Amino acid sequence: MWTPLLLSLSALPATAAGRVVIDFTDGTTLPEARRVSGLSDLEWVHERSADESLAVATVPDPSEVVARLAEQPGIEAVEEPVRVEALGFPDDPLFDQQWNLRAIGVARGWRAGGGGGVTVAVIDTGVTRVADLEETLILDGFSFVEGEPTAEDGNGHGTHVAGTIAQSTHNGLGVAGIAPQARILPIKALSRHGFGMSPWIASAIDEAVDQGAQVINLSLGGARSDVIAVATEKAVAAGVLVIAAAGNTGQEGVSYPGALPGVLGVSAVGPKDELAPYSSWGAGVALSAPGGDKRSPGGGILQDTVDGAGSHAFKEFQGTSMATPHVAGAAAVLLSASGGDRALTQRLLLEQAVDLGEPGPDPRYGHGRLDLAAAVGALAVRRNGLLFALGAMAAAVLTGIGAGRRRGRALVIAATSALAAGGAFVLPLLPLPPSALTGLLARPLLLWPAAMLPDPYWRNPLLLSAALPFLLTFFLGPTRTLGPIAAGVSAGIATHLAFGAVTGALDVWLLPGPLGSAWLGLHAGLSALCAMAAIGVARLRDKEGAP
Amino acid sequence: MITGRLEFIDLGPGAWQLTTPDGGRVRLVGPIPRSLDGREVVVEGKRLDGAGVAMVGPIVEVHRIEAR
Repeated sequence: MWTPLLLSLSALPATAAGRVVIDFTDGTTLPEARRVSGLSDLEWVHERSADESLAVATVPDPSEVVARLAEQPGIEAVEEPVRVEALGFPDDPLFDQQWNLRAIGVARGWRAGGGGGVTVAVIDTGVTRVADLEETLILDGFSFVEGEPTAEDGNGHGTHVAGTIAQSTHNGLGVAGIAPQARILPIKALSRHGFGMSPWIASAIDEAVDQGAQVINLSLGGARSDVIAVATEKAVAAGVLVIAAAGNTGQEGVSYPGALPGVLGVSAVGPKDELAPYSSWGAGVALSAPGGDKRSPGGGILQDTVDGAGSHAFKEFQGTSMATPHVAGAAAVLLSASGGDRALTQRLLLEQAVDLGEPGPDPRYGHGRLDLAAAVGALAVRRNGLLFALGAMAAAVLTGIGAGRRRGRALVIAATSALAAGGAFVLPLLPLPPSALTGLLARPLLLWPAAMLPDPYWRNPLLLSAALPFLLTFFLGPTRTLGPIAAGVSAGIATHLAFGAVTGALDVWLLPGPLGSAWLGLHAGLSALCAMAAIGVARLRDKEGAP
Repeated sequence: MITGRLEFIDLGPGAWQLTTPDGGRVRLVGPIPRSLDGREVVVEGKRLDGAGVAMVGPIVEVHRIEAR
């Protein structure tokens, strides 16, 4: 779904001098087309272009052919191929109608990696792999609903919610989602009637935690239940972000579990950023997000969902159920980009929200309306920008100690170190089409695995260690051109590991608390030694005058 | 047994809501004929402890429903 930038250019051959593209009247066969045009090596642009009779040919003088065929009967259009740039991202044709995704600044979230590696549990009516979820990573689901043994969606609610979080995006079909690289864990706790008993919901929450979900989306609500409260408390204590709907009474009083402490309750706004008339509000609303308001045409939330007998349809829904997955998707993006930093993610979601209603947090909008673009921006600049600067400084210190007067080399080492430590942190802020590559380049090197491997595997002690610096220094350190790169990467990784040891921002799997910090500190030191060794080797070579 | 005005409301995929004479709102689950939309009805059913997608009020499983 994350078509690389280059592939998102037009399918037509670019700038090819000597080529013409000809659109014949629909239904023209290839032999007829060759006869009409007088071009014997004419071929369809693509095997699927036969229906539209769109052909391409290589000719000695394209402009002559274009002029000759322009008025020819049986030909609708003829031209030299033009390069079509990927101005529009995504290419999902109904994205235009997703005012809600534009409102939260979804594109910046895509550029920050689109939630890669993060598991979001959708505790709902189940999730069915409809056409526009074909490319979405959906894990094997569970059902706790009596009489409904699979996690297939018999209602349409859960699939719609999952679509807002991770609809297959830039796949040329339908609509987009907020965190299309995230993994959806479908857990059915609501029947096809859209109702679930409290033990089903509590068991679903427990199961989500056991399955390693980092975010739980609860687009559901009811009266307070002790078993749900206990399960939720455990999930929050386990470090899971639990996000729940505020309710649809249109009155004060947030439904449960949205009103529970530690849960982010979400109220709903319409396209004009006003509280939707159906939205509940009150204590427990942490923030608001687009939930739709169908009083204005196109004001609902459009996603792909099941439609009766095994079919699917793009449907507009409204409700705080629809607002909640906006926050869950945004949380997935921020968790992925921050390397699973839950506290930072929650802080960014709340602090960066657009303040609505009374100044400061209020019972209707909480901290304000979700602003993913601002949150990604703050993460990029404050966290990764800081690491970038620290990486450059660390390299400057190390080269000052060991590199002599080679300024060019010192600069390469500093730049590499800065990039390894903080990533090309400005990338998400630039108007570039998102791709898997920007999602990686924009983040610190140590967090690359977080975009690809599920939590907690990406933060295993081996990946958060001096292993890469050691390998680079050992193999590349002695070479003239790549030695400084090895030194820079080692210095950058040393910087990030030290940052993690001091701030607790890196949580090493299997090594909790001080043990993890000690591990990170040790490997920061080892990485710095690797950098110094690579610098030292270069310096020795300078002295010896070796080639 | 409760009485009130029945409505199919536009929340999520849609939900049945009963507004009682005192203004209270109840979400009804179970098979309900679309022909009753907008009618005053009498409902026999059971209050359920749990949660749902409509979140408009207490949830009642319908055993019998008819127009008044």
